Order: sequence, then C-alpha cells, then structure tokens
Amino acid sequence: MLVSKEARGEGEYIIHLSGKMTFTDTSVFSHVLDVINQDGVRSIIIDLAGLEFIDSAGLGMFFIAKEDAETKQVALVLQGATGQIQKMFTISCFYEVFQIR
Amino acid sequence: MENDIQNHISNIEIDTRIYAEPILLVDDSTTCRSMMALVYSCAGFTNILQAKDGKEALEMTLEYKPSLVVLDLFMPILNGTEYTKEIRKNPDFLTLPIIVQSATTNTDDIHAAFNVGVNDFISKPPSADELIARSIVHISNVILARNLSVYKKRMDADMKIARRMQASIMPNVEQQGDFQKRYRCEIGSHFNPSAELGGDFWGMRSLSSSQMALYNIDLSGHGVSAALNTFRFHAILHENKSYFAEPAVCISAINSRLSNLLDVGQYATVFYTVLDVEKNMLSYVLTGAPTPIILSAEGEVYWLKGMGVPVGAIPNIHYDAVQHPFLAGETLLTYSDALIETPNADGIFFSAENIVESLQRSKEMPVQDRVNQLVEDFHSFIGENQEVTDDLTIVIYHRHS
Repeated sequence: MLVSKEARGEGEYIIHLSGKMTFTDTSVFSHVLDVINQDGVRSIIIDLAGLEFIDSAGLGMFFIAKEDAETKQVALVLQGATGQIQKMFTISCFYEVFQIR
Repeated sequence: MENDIQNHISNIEIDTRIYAEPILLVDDSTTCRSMMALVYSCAGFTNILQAKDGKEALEMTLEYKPSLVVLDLFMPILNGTEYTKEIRKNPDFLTLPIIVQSATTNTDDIHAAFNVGVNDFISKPPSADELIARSIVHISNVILARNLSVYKKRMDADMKIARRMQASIMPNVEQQGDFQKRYRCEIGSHFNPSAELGGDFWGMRSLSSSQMALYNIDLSGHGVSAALNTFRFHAILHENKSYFAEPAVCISAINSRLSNLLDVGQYATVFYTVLDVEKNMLSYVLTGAPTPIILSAEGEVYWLKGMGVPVGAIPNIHYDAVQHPFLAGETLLTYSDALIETPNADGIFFSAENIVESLQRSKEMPVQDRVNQLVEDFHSFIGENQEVTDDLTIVIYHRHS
C-alpha cells in the first residue's frame, strides 16, 4: 500500500491510500495515524479511490484511526471506496460507524 | 605474542564461551600443529585437539565433536579434501566450520576444497591474528546457531501443545457424532491455520432437543495474537447464559464483553446461527463474515445475506438477526474469507460461484468428503505453489431428509 498526504487548508489534510491494504501494511498505516495525532489537525479525509483490496487487518486499521481521531477530536472521513473495499465496508456496516462518502 | 593477540581482539565484544569450544587442528607436521596450538592457547582457547592426518581427524571429529576444524590439505593416508568429503556425508557435521590452511597457490586445489564443503581458506603459514580472528567468527556462528536451535526446539514444542489446545476448542469427531444423532444431520469440517496457530474457530452448542447453535468465528490477524483471542471468544461463548438461543442478543452481549478485552483494531467476524429443526428455520447474525450458502435438495442456491459491525471493535452496537428457512435435505456451508480471498497466480479469486459448483458436483458424497473436495478444488484453482496466507475454516452442515 502507498500513502500520500496533501494539505487542504489550516489543520486539514487529505490522505490518499492506494494498492492493497493488508496485514503487512501496519507500519505504512502508522503514517496515517501520525497525521491524525499531529497537533493542530482538525479534519482528515482518507481517500480510498486508489485502493484495490483490503483484508481483515486493513479494516482493523480503520478502527484504530477512528479511535485516535476521537481521542484527538479530529473529524475523520473515508471517501471513494469502490469494488471489494466497498463490499467489505458494507458487510462490516462501516456506514454505521464511520463517516463515509 | 599473547599480549599482541589479546590486544588485537580486546576491542571487539566477544562471547567468552567461545574459548571453551573444542578446536581440532589437523596437520601432518608436528611443528605446524604445535605452533598453531600455541597461537590458540595464547588467544585464550582451552580445548585444543590435534590430529596428524585426515583419518585420525575423522575419528576425533566423531568422538569430540569440535566446533571448528583447522585443516591442512596435503597429508598422508587421508588428505584434507577427502576428510571434508567424508565428514560432510554425516548430517551431524554439515555445518561444522572447516578452515583450510595451505601453502598451495593452485586455485584448482582451493576450489576443489570449497567444492567439497570447506568454509574458509587461509594461506600457510597463517598470520596468528588472522587465524584467531577467523576462528572467532566461525565459532561465534556455531554458538549462535546452537542457541537458535535450542530456542526453536522449545518454541516448536510449545507451539505443538498450543496447537493441540486450539484443536480442542473445536468439536471433535465424537462430539460431531452426538450432534449428528441428536439433530439428524451430517457435519463435515476443515480447519487449517496459515501459521502454527490460527485466528479461526468454529463450534456448536446444544440449546434444546430441536435447537442448536452453530458458529464460525474469524479473529482479525493470524498467528499467536489472533489465537489467544480465539480462546477469549470461546470462553465467553461457553458461559452458561440464557441468550444463546437469541443470536442478536447473544452477539450484542459478546460484543460488549469483547470490546473491553480486545486491543483497538482487533475484532472478530462472526457467523452465529441458531438452527431450529422443528420450525425448519435459521436465525443468524453475520458480521463482516463471508456469505454462508444454503443448497436445497433440488440444487437451488440461497445466499445468507447479512451485515454487521465486526464483533469486539466498538462497544454498544446493536445487532439484528435474520431469519431464513432451512428445510430437511438442505445443506448449509460456512467458510472463512481465506477461501474467497486467496488469489491464484493471475490474481483471480476462488469465487462464490466456484464454491457452489464444487458443492453441486459433490452432492452425492458423504459430507466430510464434500468438504475435502471443496478444499481440493480450492487448491487446484489457486495452484499448488500459491501460498494460503490466512487461516482456512470450512463447515458443512447437512440436514437429513
């Protein structure tokens, strides 16, 4: 998986994930958590348009991001999920517990 | 000389145990052997053995199991190359470090020595510093490998016990037999963790003469951490609670308990169903798990749709149960995601359609054979050499007509 960060405004970032998000990507995903935990960050959009595949460990990483975001009072949005990722989000009811668009 | 050598090596941190390791010096010249023995004892080595030819060296190697052999190439009776060839035939000495020390400059001789399994070469007469430095490297590796091998043996033994423990939280043949009699059904299963231990488990609970629960659980991740969580989940599932006949209540309660226990990011995907053989109904909760399949006696296919937040991820989630008819003669299949998420060499997954196709073809077989057939079809689809990196669990439950 590849992670890239784009500043959008004061305390606002969009993070693009691409490739496959699996159990081998926990250290890569820690970059996302670093952004969430930066001081002064208020809102983060995780853009999943480039993501092709996610496994159970990948889904778990979003739960960690959610917990970190809630602790730091950062608004977290997941956007652009398609294909298998959208399917996994659906069967796991991510639409209930995450802000998704 | 003693001071020189010790000064030379004093800058490096050395495991002092190496000095007690036996070293075998092999040379037909008494002078050469004595010189080397002096070099080693000055460096602090205390266990120095000597052999005057390859034959004597072979005997002494077998008897004293040295940690290093320093070998001359040209000797009477059995030369250095022949000694190496012989000793490498013995599996106990495949990794024994052998340093050749020889005056030869003939590269063919040196190559021949390496080809039969020599590890290192030093020209003769050897420099004392170089001989000791190289010896320390080789003997340190021997100790390292020995420690690793001891550690591995202990881990292997531990894992074997843990694996048996994990197998014991799943129904054994005898327990399956009891359920088969009681609920007039036939059950088959497959459980294959990708590492020594798995994050999957399945099981059954008897609820009344007409009702039983069947579950297939996949804890996120795999290996030891996921396996430990299977024990947590299993313990909660086997408490004596009235709500086990109510899938929604049951999973909501387990979710509350597990959310407090699991680390953030850990969770379980769950298929938990109560089968009622009088009402011919299933009531189930499905959270993030692959879609179970029902096949009718006539070959119709039903997908058990459902969704829910994975269990243990977030507290206070309300789960809903779904009802679906389950008639006598019908077959229920539940499986973990490894079955549909392991790509073949072209990156293509074994699909739900492939699963159905396999089940249709195996219709007349005993249920356990159908499970085995499905596993076989899966493996031939993904290809022999393709590694399954996740735990694979499959359960087939067939109601007798």
